[in-house]
Amino acid sequence: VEVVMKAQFFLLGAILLASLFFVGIPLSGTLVKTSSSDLTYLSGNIADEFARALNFGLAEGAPVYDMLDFVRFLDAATQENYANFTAFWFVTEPQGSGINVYAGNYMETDVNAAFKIGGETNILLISHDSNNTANFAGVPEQFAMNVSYAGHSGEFNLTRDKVNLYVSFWLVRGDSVTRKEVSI
Amino acid sequence: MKGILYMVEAVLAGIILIAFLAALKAVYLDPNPQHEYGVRAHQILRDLDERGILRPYAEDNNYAGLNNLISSTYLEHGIRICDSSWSCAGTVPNATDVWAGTYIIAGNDSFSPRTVKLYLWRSS
Repeated sequence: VEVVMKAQFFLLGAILLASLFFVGIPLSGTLVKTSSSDLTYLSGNIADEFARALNFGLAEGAPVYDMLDFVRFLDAATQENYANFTAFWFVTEPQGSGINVYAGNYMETDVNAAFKIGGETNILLISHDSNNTANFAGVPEQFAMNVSYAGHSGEFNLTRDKVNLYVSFWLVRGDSVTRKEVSI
Repeated sequence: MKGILYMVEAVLAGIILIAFLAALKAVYLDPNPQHEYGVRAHQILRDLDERGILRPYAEDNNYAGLNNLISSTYLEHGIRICDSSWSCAGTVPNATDVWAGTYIIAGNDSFSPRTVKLYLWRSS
């Protein structure tokens, strides 16, 4: 009788150990899983392409309109991947001793964007899927610009005599949210 | 009675062994778990772009030429290229389990955005 009991004990032990093995598999999932979300890869891809879109636009003399077209394209392209795309961006271009600021809004709502250089502030009302322009005269060669829009803000140290681009964009799919900022 | 018990033990041991091997194969030996195929597809396209191959083909909507540059030993693959007016070259594969990776480009030599999709599916 003792021998049979021992065998049963080992059998139960084996089942228990096997169960623990299967229960433990999900916990050790990180051994093989990297980032399973394609949004991470897609957002990296999009961030890289903004610089190209700007350069193509500059070469064609239409940086602002190309940016808006590109953002519309990105919206459609990401919808195809079941993700919602929103973005805010601005481009600064030298204008004599000043600069023009072209700001674009693709936040799915109208946005009041404030641009401040030194003591001068320009507030632009930008409708969704459009852009608006502000002009600053007498800007130093190196300057700091404070920007605030839709609950976000930041300070950017920029060079007057070059074209600067800043983009902030979001990709949302369900509970997964990816935000990236591009500054060149 | 003892014989029946041994038989049950043997059956259970067999089930456990097979389940263990199956789990081992699924978790540790499959280099590309199914949920990663979409990401893998994106990485293949990115690799082609980093080697300077992807954009000229995408600009020409040459989905067949681009597809011929991809080799896969155990997955079928197809390419679809769409421009900004959503005019697309290439077709979506007619298979049951298809994974897709998307790569977006702003253009090649000029502004001409495209999406390049790589579809992967198991050979039937």
